[in-house]
Amino acid sequence: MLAGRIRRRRVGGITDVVLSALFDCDRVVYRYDAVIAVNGVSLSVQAGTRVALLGANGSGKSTLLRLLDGLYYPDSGSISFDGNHLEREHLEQDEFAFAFRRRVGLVFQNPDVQLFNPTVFDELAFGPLQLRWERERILDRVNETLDLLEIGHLRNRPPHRLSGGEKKRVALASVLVLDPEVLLLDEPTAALDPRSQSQIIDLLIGWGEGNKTVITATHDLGLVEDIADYCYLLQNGKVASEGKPEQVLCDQALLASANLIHAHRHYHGTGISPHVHPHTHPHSHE
Amino acid sequence: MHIPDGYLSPATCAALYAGSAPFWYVALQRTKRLLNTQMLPLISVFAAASFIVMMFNLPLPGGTTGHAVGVAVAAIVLGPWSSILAISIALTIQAVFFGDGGITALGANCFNMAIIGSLSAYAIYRLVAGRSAIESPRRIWAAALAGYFSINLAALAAGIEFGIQPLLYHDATGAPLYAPYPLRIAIPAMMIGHLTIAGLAEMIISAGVVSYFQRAEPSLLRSTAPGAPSSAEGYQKAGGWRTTRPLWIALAVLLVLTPLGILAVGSAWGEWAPEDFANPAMRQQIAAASGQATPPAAAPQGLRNLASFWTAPMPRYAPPFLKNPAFGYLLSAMAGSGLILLVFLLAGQALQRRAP
Amino acid sequence: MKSFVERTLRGLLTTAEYAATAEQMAISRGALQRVDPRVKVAGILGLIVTAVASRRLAAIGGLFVLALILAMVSRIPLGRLGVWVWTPVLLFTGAIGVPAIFLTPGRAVAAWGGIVLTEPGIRGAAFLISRAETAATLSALLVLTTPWPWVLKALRIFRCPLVMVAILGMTYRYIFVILQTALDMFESRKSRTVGVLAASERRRLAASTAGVLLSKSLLLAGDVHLAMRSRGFQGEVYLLQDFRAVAADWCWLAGFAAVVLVALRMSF
Repeated sequence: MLAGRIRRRRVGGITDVVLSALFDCDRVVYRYDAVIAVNGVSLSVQAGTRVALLGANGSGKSTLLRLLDGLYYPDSGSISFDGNHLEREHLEQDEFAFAFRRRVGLVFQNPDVQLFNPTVFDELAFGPLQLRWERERILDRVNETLDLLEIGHLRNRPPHRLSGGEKKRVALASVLVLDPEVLLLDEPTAALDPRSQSQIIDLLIGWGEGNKTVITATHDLGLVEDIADYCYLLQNGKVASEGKPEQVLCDQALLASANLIHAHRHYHGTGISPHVHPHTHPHSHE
Repeated sequence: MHIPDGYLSPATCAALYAGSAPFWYVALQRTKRLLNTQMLPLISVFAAASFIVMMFNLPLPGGTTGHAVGVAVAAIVLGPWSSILAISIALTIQAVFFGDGGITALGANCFNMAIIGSLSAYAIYRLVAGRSAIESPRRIWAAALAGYFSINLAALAAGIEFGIQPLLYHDATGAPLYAPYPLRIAIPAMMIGHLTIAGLAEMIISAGVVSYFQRAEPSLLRSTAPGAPSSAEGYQKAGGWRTTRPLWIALAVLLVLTPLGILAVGSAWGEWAPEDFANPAMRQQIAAASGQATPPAAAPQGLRNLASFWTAPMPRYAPPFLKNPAFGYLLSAMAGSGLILLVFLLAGQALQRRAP
Repeated sequence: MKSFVERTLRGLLTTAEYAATAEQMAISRGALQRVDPRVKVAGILGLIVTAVASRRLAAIGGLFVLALILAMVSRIPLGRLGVWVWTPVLLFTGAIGVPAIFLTPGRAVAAWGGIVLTEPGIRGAAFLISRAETAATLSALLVLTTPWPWVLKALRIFRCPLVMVAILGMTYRYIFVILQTALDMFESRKSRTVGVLAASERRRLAASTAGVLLSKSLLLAGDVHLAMRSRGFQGEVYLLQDFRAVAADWCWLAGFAAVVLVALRMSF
């Protein structure tokens, strides 16, 4: 069962089945006061795919995610989800808002922004409460999600007593509790130690199987091949390149100009040699 | 100047909770209308930040340090009503969770610091800043004065609350049950600390933060600067009858309750007529109200000279044509309040005609 | 001479420490910890009001002893109470109350040189100090035996509006985030400042630190708002509360009520 809408089109008497995009951005522009954060971005995301938005800080990828989540409204251009325009008037109507919020979840980069309730349990219950689920259903679902992410022992903890990795898992849980079809992730591995990073990645890969759509914004190139089938490279609010990960990651010059990799020199044995690495990729040499 | 438990009688505490309630209600309504879905995160986070700023040790002239409440900053950035809310929340958390200020005294502390503080700070800031530009140094002065005077008004209120305790509440031996110092000691004691140390601390934080915002974040000062396009304008217009109705109702209730004054036995301290000094029954009352000090045999010379200077239209709150004292009280209360309200309404009209 | 940076740092760290210890104690196994939060809030608040309303020193003293017993059965170390509650209250209220001993008019009890100690003065000081200590001990007990989010949810029994409960909870939550930011800012100021600054420099530093903290907080608030909307927040506040009162809780409630009645009876 595909989440995207199936449109039937008559072309010369033959009926074609065409899959429309789940997310469709058409020349979206967004400004923060005088700064243009997103400068005419057009992209589309099919249901069930895994997409990466690559870019350094300031490239507009976080803003784009928030636009996709209907938190910001484009200054010009349009964004639609499953055929519906994400506009202020639509999202102020409870019916549309609840349906959309249930289907699409955004995990923010800074967990302190996302964990605004006094305890972990309250945090997970927040979404379902807003969507007006019944009490029993909420309790069941919250317990289920706590177990799924193995954070049941943290249920009564206040967020400031959680480690970085635990906070990230709670943040994820607070979104997964609604059982969304789409997950938007803003730098999911930022500020995490390597072990927590791999735990989160495993979780996401596991969750992503089975027709879920995942859109990840990141500057961590080492992550991309694990979590995405298609990438968009963003630079100064524009799409500089797109394609499969292998293709996009080949273009070293472009990656360097987008600030995603840097060139440096270091010792190999007794001699110095130049290297080009993505910044966060640990490496060792024999 | 957080008042702990035990300094104010339950009746005083209850009265101050009751007095704060209409302001809290109006503050909540206005803030909801102004901020909508933003209210919850904005007020919470600002209250949390205020809590932390209240813990700063501010360096003061003379090498001392002091703490500020920051109520003027809140009023300047958020506007008076949201400031009442945010500061009350910070005070509540201080009192309940950190034991800084009493729980029974929370109503009093909110009334003094959050309510009197916010409203007076806002009024003084607007008055002094006028229509000057956001970056103008006049606003720094306005903030400094707003901080200084608002905290001193709050301290004065607290001093009065302390000072009336021994008058009203003492046990059989005459021991004060709550704050033990009368007004003539309580008020100077409170004011000395605040006219100097605490007032300076408020001045420094208010002026300093406004100065910082002028340089770094001028948009934060817009909402209380008229002339700038902002939601603050809608704030003032969105008010009107509906949101101030609770205040009117509270005033009406207080008016109706004024006849309770008759229940007070004896006469108020210091409000005696010259002939009372000759009347033995009155002399007993005077002595009882003055800690058993014997009153002079005759009225003091100054009192006799000035007593006939002014004859009130409604002497002893009893209009001459009314026989029923309770009704007389009520009528006097209404007349008095009515006059005060009229004065303020006229003043408000005059000011409005000058400002946009 | 300690700089204001160091003093502020120390104050902030003490607060963080106190909160951490309180949270620990609130989930440990003691008598009061097991009581339903609503019963605790109603009961302890009732005791505090009674302590403030009593007109008999004996009643106030009795309430203080009760508070001590409750602390002991709830595994709250009395030494900690001494450091956090009794000493600060004694110093502050003592300083205010002691002069009343010779400033209050009434029957003289003793005299030294020109200073007369009166009976009403001594009783007045006793009332003030005993009330302050008892009330402070009781409110510390509430907070040291109940996690703060539960105290808040229990406020609903007083018909506290939902939105106020939500604001209080979120404020408490973000105090710790902003506390950490403030700690980081002051730590870095401390290490960066070489030598002694002029007085006006120090004042400007303090005020601009406050300014930075406030503007960072407002940015944070904006992001939190987005996070709330992202999970369906349209302005309505809901509360999910799972308190279940058992028989023991009703006994506690009855106990609290009995003490209040006895203490008030003694007074009037």
